[in-house]
Amino acid sequence: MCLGIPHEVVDVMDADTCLIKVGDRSQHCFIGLVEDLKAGDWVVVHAGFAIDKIAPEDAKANLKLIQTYLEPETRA
Amino acid sequence: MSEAATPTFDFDPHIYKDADVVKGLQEKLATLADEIGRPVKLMHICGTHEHEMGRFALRDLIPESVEVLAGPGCPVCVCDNEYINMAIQLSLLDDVIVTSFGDMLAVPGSIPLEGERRGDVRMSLLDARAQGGDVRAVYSAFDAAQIARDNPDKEVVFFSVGFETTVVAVAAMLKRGAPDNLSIIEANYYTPPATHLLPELDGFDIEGFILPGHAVTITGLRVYEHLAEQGIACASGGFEPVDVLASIASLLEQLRDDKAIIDNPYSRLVKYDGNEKARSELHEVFELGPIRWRGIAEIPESGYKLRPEYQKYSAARKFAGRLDQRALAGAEHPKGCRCAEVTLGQIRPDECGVFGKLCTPDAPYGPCMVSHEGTCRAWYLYGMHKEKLNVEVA
Ligand code: SF4
Repeated sequence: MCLGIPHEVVDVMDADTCLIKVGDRSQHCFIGLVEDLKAGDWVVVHAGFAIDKIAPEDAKANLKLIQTYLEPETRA
Repeated sequence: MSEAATPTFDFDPHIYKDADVVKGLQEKLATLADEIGRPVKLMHICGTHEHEMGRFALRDLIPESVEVLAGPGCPVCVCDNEYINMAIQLSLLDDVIVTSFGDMLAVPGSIPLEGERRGDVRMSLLDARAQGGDVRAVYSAFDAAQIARDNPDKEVVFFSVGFETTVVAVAAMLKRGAPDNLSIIEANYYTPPATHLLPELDGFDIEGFILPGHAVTITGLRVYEHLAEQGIACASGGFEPVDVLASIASLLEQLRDDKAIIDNPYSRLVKYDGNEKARSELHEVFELGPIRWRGIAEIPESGYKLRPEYQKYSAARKFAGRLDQRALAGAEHPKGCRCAEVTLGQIRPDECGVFGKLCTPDAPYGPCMVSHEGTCRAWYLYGMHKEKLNVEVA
């Protein structure tokens, strides 16, 4: 029940609502719990509402972190 | 507020399913297991993790000496049958529509199902619907509020069941002004106090926890500090194959190095302090109080209850005079069902005598086989009770 799927924000309509990209369609999503969203941002959506956004710097840092698991010697 | 769609960065979620990265992590786990050199038991506490472990056959990629058990991570499975019985009673009232997530509709409470011959089978909301009750599945709490607006001459009850990830949406919905003909059944669970109890159980030998990635997105990792303080390794867990394997790698590294910290391999979403705005809305509407976990115990401070200023939305209060209070409580699980032990990770589903025989996803007997997040259902659907595949790293 805690399934959450990342989606790209297509359009921010008001403080509580945005359109997210779902395949080649768009769908309404509640964003009242996430601050400072704009089109092009990514959010993780659970049961029709965004639980938080994925910031570019966090996404990049996460990939780097995973990389360190693949190269054991580099991990402190 | 509307603005043109101009992507700010390229984010490819598929990277977290990448076969090469998965293979790299599989090798890493094998190395870490060798370095540790003894059997290790880990636990996750999110039904979605169990589901994804089955769907992607991740247990087949983990070394034999590392066991990953499913803990109390399915809110539908731990939902006390008092709430289910309440929802069933309400759905059979002429002026009431009961709404909930699809999963919750099929879970039996403790009211016996008349005429059923297949063992100790009890009534679910779907059975109530078959008897004329108005029971509807919804995708979100906001849908329940809309049904209430569309049916002003009816009372609409939202059977709110879930952990932090789900409860926060109910808080947001109520805070923004729900219709007066809407009320909620407060079956909202907060997991950290339950994990506090686990190490006190006889024979507890779990050395690391995969923390539930989307619940901690709301609460922050901070709420699990007690586990690290008890010497148990912790790592946040995302839900893609790479995320789950990375969490296990983190836990094994901690065990190899004799450390117990709260690591964050799901750092693209999870923060140590969580989502502040979501947390503040959650605590504005709900406060923590005791709640019964089905088959386990009543655990203090582990249930989200409406604060006094929101209690007009409490179905238990609104319908107090119309509920048969004596019929709310009853034996927790049907005879022979071992869901309580499955939920605590004390037995595997296939150790229950009726698994796959009297109890299958098509004809579930206990809650852990009903819910899509239930451990028994995941084991049956994905064949986790069968022999492991021998997956070699290419
Ligand atoms: S298989 Fe699972 S759900 Fe079914 S009766 Fe046994 S413990 Fe309960």
